[in-house]
Amino acid sequence: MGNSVILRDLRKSYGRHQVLGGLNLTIAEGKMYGLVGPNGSGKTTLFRILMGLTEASSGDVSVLGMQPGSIGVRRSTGYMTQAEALYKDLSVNENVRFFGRLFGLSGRALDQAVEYAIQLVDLSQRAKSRVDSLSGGMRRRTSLACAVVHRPRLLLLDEPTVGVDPELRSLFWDTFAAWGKQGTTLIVSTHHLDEASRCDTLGLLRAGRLIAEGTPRGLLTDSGAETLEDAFLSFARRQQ
Amino acid sequence: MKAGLVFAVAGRLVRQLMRDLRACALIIIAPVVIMFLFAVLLNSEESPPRVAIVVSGTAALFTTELEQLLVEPDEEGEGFDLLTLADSISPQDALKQKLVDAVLVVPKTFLEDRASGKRSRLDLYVEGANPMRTAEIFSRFRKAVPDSLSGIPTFLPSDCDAHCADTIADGPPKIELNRVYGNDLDDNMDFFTPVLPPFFAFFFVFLLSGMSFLRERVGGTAERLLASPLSRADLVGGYILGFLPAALVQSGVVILFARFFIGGPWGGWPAIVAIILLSLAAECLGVFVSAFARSEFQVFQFIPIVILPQILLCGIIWPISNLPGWLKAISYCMPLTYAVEAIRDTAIRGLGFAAIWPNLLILLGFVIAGAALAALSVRRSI
Repeated sequence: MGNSVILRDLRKSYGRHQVLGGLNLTIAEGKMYGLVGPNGSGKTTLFRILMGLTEASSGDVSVLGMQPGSIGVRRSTGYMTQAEALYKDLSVNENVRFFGRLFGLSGRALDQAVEYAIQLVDLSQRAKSRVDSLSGGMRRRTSLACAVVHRPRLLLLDEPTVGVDPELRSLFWDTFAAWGKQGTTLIVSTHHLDEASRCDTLGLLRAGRLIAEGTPRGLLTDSGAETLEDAFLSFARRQQ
Repeated sequence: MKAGLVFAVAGRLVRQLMRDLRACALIIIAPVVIMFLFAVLLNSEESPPRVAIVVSGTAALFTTELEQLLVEPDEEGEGFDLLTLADSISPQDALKQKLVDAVLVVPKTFLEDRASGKRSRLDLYVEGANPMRTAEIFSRFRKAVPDSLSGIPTFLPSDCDAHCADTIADGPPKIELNRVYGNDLDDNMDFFTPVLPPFFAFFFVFLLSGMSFLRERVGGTAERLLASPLSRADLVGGYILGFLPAALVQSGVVILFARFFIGGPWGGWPAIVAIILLSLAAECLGVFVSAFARSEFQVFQFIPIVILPQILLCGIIWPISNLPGWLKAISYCMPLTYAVEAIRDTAIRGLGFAAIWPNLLILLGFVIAGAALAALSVRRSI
């Protein structure tokens, strides 16, 4: 099994403000990697670098064995941004269909993919509803459907469960785990440490640096803490 | 009303405005720039009409005096520029080639006819596309011709009685106005009506595409689009194609309204092609400038920078020939100028594709350059 993402000494600064400071990371194919960190720790910047939306200041990045932002990466990756990033005057179906077409789907394959994605996020009943008539949680689900409609090999989910109710959050994570088993690599950012425990590997990010990395159980063992929240605080104190 | 709350709201607005330095600068600079343009345009001296008088035989006696009257400054301090036409060129051709603004043709036997009691006739040829210019030239000739005749001795035929003598002395010669173009123009409105559709097309398509692309960026969909296989060129191409129907419908409605409600010429298919090209250029410009805006308010700020100068300088109101050199240069950097010129050529001068293709080609150049700029402005780093 190969690696989906490899980062070597990745740095990113905006002027004099350093956002990422020397990240080294390897994420194997088919794994669910959780990026955990407080707001401003660099999670979104890392996603944007992986998608080629912003350039790293220095360091090496490989995504699916290719340059970030290359057409190959963009074809094989699904990206759910932190913002809803939907056309609010279009319906759920029209939004998902539009993004499906951008990934080259058409005809029957597009119909099936759209139906599958909408079913997956449990929005079949509201498929024809305009996005601006949906609740915040439903919009997040629509956004997720748009990110997975083309069944990507690599899925980047930037805080996918923000504003989603606990029941649906649990459903989301079950779905992520199922995709992981099917061979999709997932990188999920969150600051909900309870749900992060569902990941295969966790990277604790603080002020642009990876302060700890390992399985949820391994992190608990290394820190001697009982919860992941305590573990994160313990690693943060050690860094200081 | 509670003063404290009013001050809180006002203070917050002032603080926000102070942080938007571009808005602050624009509030101060835009009116000054626009007023400066107005001042330059209002004070710009209209170039004097260039006229030629075609004459031979004894009629030259009359035209010597007439020429003097024409070149003399009138009450507004303006005199005509007098040119000489080559024998080989007809008045119509000289006007079509824009060598002169008017040609007066005096019959060889003008004085003899007059002396024999006939009411002689002069032919004044004008370009005719601009009714105001035509009226100015015509009225000057109508005044100068009788004045110039006052110093010419009248040779009365022996059989001319007192009544006949009065007729010759009092009756000014008939000046027949011949327009090369614009014979069908009813009034000044006919001069402006054909250029209303391109103006509206440009203004609204620019705003529509600028606002729409801004929404894409602010709403986060632009980031999502750029993370998909869609290229920047695909995105700009999609925008151009997507807004084209709206531009066509809008132009169609404005043309139909101008044609059937206001009346007057509209230019036919060549004008439609010019409007389509102009709309495409406006779309690209809208997408391009939206890259420099963070809110709808900032897109609106581009109106005094992008739209107003074009309206003032494109020749809709003030003829480009009257602009000072540096404004003329700016005018020729603007797409609306070429659309207005092409549409006036077709609607008023009755010319077809064969005559307006250089302007259409330049408009196409604006579309291509605009699309390239728009694609470059859709930065990967949104």
